[in-house]
Amino acid sequence: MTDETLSTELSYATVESNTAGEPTPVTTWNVPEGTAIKIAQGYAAILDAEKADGSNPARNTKLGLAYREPNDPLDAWTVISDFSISPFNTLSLKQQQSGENAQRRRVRFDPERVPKGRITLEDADELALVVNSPDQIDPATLFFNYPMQVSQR
Amino acid sequence: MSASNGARPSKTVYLGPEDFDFKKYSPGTEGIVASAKVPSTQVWKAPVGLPLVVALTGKQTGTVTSGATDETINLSPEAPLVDYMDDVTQGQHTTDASLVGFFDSDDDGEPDTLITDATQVSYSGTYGTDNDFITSVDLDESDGAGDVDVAFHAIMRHGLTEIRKRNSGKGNTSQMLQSEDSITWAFSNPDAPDTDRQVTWDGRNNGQRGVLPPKFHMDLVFYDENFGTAVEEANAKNVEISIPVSQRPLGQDESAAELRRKITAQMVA
Repeated sequence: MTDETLSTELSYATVESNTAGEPTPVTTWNVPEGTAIKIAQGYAAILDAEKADGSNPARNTKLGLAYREPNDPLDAWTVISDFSISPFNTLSLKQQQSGENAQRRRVRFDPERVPKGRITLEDADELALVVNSPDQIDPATLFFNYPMQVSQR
Repeated sequence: MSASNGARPSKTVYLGPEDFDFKKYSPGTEGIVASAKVPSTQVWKAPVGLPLVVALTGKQTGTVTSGATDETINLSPEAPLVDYMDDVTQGQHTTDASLVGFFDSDDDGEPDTLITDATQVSYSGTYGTDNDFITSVDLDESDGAGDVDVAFHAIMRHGLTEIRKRNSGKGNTSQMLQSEDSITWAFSNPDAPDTDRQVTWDGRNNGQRGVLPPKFHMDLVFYDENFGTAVEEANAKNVEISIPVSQRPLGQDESAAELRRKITAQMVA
């Protein structure tokens, strides 16, 4: 098991546009064959999201992590964590990368859906960053990263 | 191998761009873009906790209109402002800056003359920025004898770079030692531990995972779906690499081949 980073830059990440006004994924990670990834709550997420004109998405934008197992209906994401965009709008990536100002960026999982605060996704499972925003987020500039552990099966 | 090897003198060596061979890269696949080789008489080990710098560059091109003043060249992708490199927006028009511009001074189709604030194609002093990124530069052209091609080499904003070790024999087994996305590499700060932005050799590389026997390769493997590196180009002078390794001579009672076999056996592809 190795410490790696769940990132929009990974080869198995698909970054796409959300539908304004509807909860939709902006990044989907399709766990590669023979691999399992484990994410735990309590770490600070790093995120930069902009509209196509470079301005910040509306403050009432909500983000969340969600998963989908094989054979789940295509739109059936199980949201395990949701957070506000506010701290990410006000802090630059450098400020986020430094450990300061982390409190409001810490990811907490829904205890009913993720009882022990950590979840393991096997290959063929998908994890997504979902957004519910009145604005459309520009996939070309979207950046997200969060610690994860990767193991080979 | 005998227990006495652990006591052999080792020194910390910083691998820089001059220690790597750079290779061409095409977006959409994972590819080795830089490779260094362990000398045949030495053993490298990752010194856990020491700061790493890996800032690869990509190239974008444009054209400045003949005789233009304040012509805005938009950067796509935007260029990260990197704390450990010169900052072009602060007047540091050097080849060590995180964004370096060149223009075609002799009309041979190759933008290879450094742009400063006093060249034929020059910075007018206006830069577009968005938080930690440069989004555009304004240029002047003073000759008025035709449009001029320009090229910019910027630290990568997209993609990720892994440090891998690779064996020298058949099979080419390789193992990832450290992986960070380009943003994390660019916005690290190796010289300021108090910023909490240092990227250091990860603790998992303690022990044999972090050992590179003689003739092993240390590769930098890059991936991005859309944007490539241009680290192999002659003008990619602002590639910034500083990877510390603890280097010791192979012991007299130690066989390079045996050490290679032992380490290879423990590598997971």
